[in-house]
Amino acid sequence: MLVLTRKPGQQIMIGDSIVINLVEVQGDNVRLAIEAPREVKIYRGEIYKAIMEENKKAAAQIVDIDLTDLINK
Amino acid sequence: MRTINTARFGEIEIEEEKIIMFPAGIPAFEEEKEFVIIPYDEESPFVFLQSLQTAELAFLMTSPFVFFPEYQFEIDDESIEALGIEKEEDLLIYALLTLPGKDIKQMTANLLAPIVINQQNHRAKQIILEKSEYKTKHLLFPVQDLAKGDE
Repeated sequence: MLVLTRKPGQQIMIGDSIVINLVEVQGDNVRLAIEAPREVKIYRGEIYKAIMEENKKAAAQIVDIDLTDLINK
Repeated sequence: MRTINTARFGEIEIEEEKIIMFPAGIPAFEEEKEFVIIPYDEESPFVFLQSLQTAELAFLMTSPFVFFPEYQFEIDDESIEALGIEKEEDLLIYALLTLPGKDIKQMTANLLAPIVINQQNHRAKQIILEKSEYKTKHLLFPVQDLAKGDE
């Protein structure tokens, strides 16, 4: 893992097509502006992780599921 | 026809054109690219999304609009391109369901990341609604409805 120190207004380049601009730092919050090709999907890490976790739970339960109660409601 | 193995349904035969392709897999299941939809039964809004590759892997899904009539979202340009979407009528939308314990009434739907299927080319994707207010867990039956049902 590469760890860099940057100041507001400075950039990080990943390859030759992704640019991360450090816009501002306010207390605990760091504001980033990201330029990337359209095919590169960018997610907040916690959202993607939450979906992976939910998908794993959804996949773990199905074989014996009985929905009779729900359907007859 | 293709014969596949499933944990829930045993060995089944499916028509090639029923196969749904997830070119990027599903988050946490990126290697799973081919699925088929198997209805839970004739009348319910529930279906299984069964993996062709892994017999044990099946997701339970529902049409979200049956339980959440107000549900709406916008599909990002990149997904429109990836799925080759031309018109809204071609789309099938599902929400994955999770059951935390044994009580079926606790079942939740993931409205934050719907499954979008383009019926024209059978390509599909789980879309993440980054900017929406939706969550990974929405109770199918809100608590007040359940209380009424028990009376």
